[in-house]
Amino acid sequence: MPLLSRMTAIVLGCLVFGTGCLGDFLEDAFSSILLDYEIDKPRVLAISLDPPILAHNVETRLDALIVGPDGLQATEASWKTCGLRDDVPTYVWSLQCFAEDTDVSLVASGGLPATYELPDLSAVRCEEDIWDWDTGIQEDTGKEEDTGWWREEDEGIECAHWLPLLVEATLDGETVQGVLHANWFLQHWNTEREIPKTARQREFSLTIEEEPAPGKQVRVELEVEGDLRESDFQWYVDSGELEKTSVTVTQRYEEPAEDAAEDETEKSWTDNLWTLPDNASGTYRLWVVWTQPWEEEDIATSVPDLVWAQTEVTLP
Amino acid sequence: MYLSNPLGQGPNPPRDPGTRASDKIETGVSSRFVMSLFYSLFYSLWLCSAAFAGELQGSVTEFGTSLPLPEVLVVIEDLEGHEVHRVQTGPGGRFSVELPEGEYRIVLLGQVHRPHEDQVKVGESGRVRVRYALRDASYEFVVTEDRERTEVERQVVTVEELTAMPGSFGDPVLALQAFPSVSRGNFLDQNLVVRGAEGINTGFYVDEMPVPYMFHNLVGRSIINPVFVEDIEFFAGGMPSRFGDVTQAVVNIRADRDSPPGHAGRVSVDLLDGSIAYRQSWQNGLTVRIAGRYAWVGVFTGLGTAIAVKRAGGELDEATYFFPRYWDAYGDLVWEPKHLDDRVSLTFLGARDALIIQQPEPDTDGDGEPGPPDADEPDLPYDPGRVIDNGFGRVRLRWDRTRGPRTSSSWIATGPQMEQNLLGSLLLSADGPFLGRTTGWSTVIRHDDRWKKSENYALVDGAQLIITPVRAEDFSRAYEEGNPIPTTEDVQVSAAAWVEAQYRHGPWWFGTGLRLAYTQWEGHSELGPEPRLSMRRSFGEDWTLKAFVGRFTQMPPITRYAEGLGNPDIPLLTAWQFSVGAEGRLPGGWSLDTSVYETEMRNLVYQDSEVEILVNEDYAEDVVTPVYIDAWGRAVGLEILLRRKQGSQPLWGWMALTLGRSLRMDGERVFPGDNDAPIDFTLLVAADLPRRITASARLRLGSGHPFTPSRGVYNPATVWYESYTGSLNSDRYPFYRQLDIRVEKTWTGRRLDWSLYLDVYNATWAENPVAAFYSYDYSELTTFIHVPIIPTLGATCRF
Repeated sequence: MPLLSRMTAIVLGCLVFGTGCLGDFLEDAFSSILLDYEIDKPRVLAISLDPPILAHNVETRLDALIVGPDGLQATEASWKTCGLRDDVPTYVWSLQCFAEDTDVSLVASGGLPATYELPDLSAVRCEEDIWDWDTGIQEDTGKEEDTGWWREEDEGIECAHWLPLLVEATLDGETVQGVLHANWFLQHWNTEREIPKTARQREFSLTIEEEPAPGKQVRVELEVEGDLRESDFQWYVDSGELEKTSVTVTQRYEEPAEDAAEDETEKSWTDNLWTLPDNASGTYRLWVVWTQPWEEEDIATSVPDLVWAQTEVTLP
Repeated sequence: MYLSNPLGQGPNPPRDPGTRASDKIETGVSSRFVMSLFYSLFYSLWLCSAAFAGELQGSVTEFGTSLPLPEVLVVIEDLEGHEVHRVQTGPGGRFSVELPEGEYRIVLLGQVHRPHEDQVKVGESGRVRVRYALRDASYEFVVTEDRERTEVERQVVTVEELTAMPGSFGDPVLALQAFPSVSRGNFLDQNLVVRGAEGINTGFYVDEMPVPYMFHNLVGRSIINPVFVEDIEFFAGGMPSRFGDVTQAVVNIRADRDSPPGHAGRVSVDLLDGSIAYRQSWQNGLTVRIAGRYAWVGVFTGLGTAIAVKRAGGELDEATYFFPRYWDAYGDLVWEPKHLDDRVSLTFLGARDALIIQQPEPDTDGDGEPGPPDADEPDLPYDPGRVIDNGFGRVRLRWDRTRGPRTSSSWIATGPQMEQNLLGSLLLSADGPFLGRTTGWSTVIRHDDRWKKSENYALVDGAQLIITPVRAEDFSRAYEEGNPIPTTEDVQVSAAAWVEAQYRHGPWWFGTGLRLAYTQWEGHSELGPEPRLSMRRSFGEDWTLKAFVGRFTQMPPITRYAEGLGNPDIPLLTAWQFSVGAEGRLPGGWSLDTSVYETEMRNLVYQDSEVEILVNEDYAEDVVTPVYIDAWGRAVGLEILLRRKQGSQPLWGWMALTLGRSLRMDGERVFPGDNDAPIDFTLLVAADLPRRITASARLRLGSGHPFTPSRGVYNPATVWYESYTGSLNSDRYPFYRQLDIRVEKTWTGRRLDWSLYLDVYNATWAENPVAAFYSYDYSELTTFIHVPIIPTLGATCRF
């Protein structure tokens, strides 16, 4: 039956109901996202891999921010992937494989956070396209140019699977899912190689600057170590209004002074204005989710280094 | 089920200059044609005159053949049983008597037909017209699913019910949707869905001649002008052997064959379209009938868009407009020599439907003016503005004759057909070509015989050959490099021969038929038997049990097997149908008709998506591809039709309830069919008010159509939702609800009958989704397209 994909609906809408509707539709969708910050149903807000690397010899901390109304927050979840083969590098582009169990494998399950280490998949054939870790030379051909199934412009991509990592939790009887698409490295991680500082290891603070009260607007500020001028911040609350919508950007950035101490780093700030409900009573939570830029560009992980901060107010 | 139409029966006055407006149709100029419609309407209204009090006019024909029955004794009694008048029908089967105001009982006594009683009321309007179709004993119950329990029907009543159906815009064929287990196909579909089968499994015929579609698109009327519809044979299942080529249902529109000397016509105008029909018959047995319809609803959609654009602050030349357009034409030339029991006719039938989308020309060079055309624009072999473009034409030469106990008809019909769909299958379920076009030319040769061996035994036999060279083009990749358009050309052949014995023994009646069908299409040829068995058992005067079992086959349409559009390996569609039921008369003018049915269907094609991780030489990746499931299906259900006929009481109507399922099976997987509706309910309430005003309302409630849901998965890296689809047809649209209202006022004059009506389709503007999509987070369904309220004000004049 004619249940339309969103894009088909857009195209048909444009055809039938006039020009400009594509823009209108996307505008509506983005508007929905910008204003959809109240947690009125169970939702996955963030997924964090720390470090954001899936490889053998690396223990990755898997965490997810999954919340629901009435103070609900998932403490358990299951992690799945699809197409985790041990013979050839595998690309899985869509999530459709999760509709069937055939190629789905359980990565981890239980309490949040979980830990995961990719099994030894070094037997996977990458013969024609194995890149030397340091030189970027094809080991089989000795050439720099790509001879395999990935493209020239993908320089830096390791011999890896490209698979979705799906997290699933049940809150209040409703199952919600979130996903990240990631490189799953097939070669052993060079343990001598230092993993850069991750977002979770950086300092941040989330503060409410005024005394909260029903109907009152309070300023909430997030201070984060690092240069986040290219990052967006997603805000969510249990209830109330966010004056600056659900997405903000860095509003202030400071580099360390030239004479600063060695341990001083650059910092970024963003804020939002939270108007609590007029009849607010009890505890109200607020979350901010952001992505820390991955500094080591030669490590070809596509996993964003996501992290979040949470605070709450309690009103009588 | 037989339904017949009174509209073809004008009072047959002497030829009058005032009726010549329809002659203007023959000029063929569209603007003059439209003008002639208005001219005819207003001139006819001027001619309307006061009623002639106290006259009962009637005609009597044979049911099934529609031949006029002369010398039928018509006895008219008052309600106390005193004979008031008696008269015999004339050569044309007609009678006319003058009567004082009051109610009367009419008894018809035919020589070889079963007697019939009826009750009529001669009211203040002065003249009452009635029509009766008497069945001879052997023809009775040829149709197992015949819902008209009585052997003799006052046909005018039945179609008046249908014509008065709110939401059908006065179209009796469209009103078929109000019967149990019947629903219209999806948006823009031009078919009927019956008992949970697909739309393609319902065949449409005009006097047994197959036609590609029966309804104009959108909420359109049928392609046949009602004035020439004698009756409608509708089989929800259990078709006799003379019907084949489809596996579920048949709608056979039978053109009016009653053509007494003189002329008659009908002009109808409303906000959707206008139509005109005219018949002229001469004493020498020659009859000419022509009819045409042209839609102007596109004027209103364009005007509505323009108003909406201006109100929104836009520019008219930057807007996109859509224009539904349709027309149909019908004409026949009939010769019935008085000294022979022969009838020769030459018939033309044509229809065209288009949904045109006119988009503004983009400013490609940035000079502020539209154009020039983009150099990269492919040279398409079709007009992309005609997103729907369907049409067909048929010319038929037919010879009917009666020689003693044998009645025969032979005919040949030929004509082109086309179906183009640029919206894909999404809005059209799976019945239309998937983003493509089919063209073809169909030729049908057919012969039917009916031998009346005795009062209790008759034999029906016949043969049919259909040859259709057809071509299908897949436009889904027309914009890709090289503009590939996969094309399939084929010659479809369908041949069948059948024989059916019909015999009565006491309260039992049996119809035992065998149809041998041969089909041939691209690389396939099938020859198989189609046995059919119908049975009825009467219990007294009021109740009858009925049963049917039979096999049906259907060649897949080319859109199901053409390259790019379907599955070339699809075999012959087959179905076994079983049904048992009872029908009877209840006190107070009520009747009850119930059936329990089961249909077992094989080789159904369903499109699903399949994900597979394909291993190449040195890597693997997932590939999601559409697959065509060769499923089998089972439809089971209970149909209940509780009905009070019009005329018996001022308040009449019916309640149709269907409880059923239509499931599909693919291995161990079971899923609902596209048209699975566990519950479907229609309530029609109509009231014949004083001053010949009829008010009616129809309420339709039903399960929403199934659809395949998608699950939203949030990706925090992109801050967007991805999705994957769930099990096939595992979710369902919201409950369907629709209320239609109709009010009609009729005036009867000496030469003209005319009526004004207001028909409001979907009066509560219920947003029943025709198509829907998910909200950005896949948490809610948003109705994307629904049919809005459609109020239609119209006028009809019959002369």
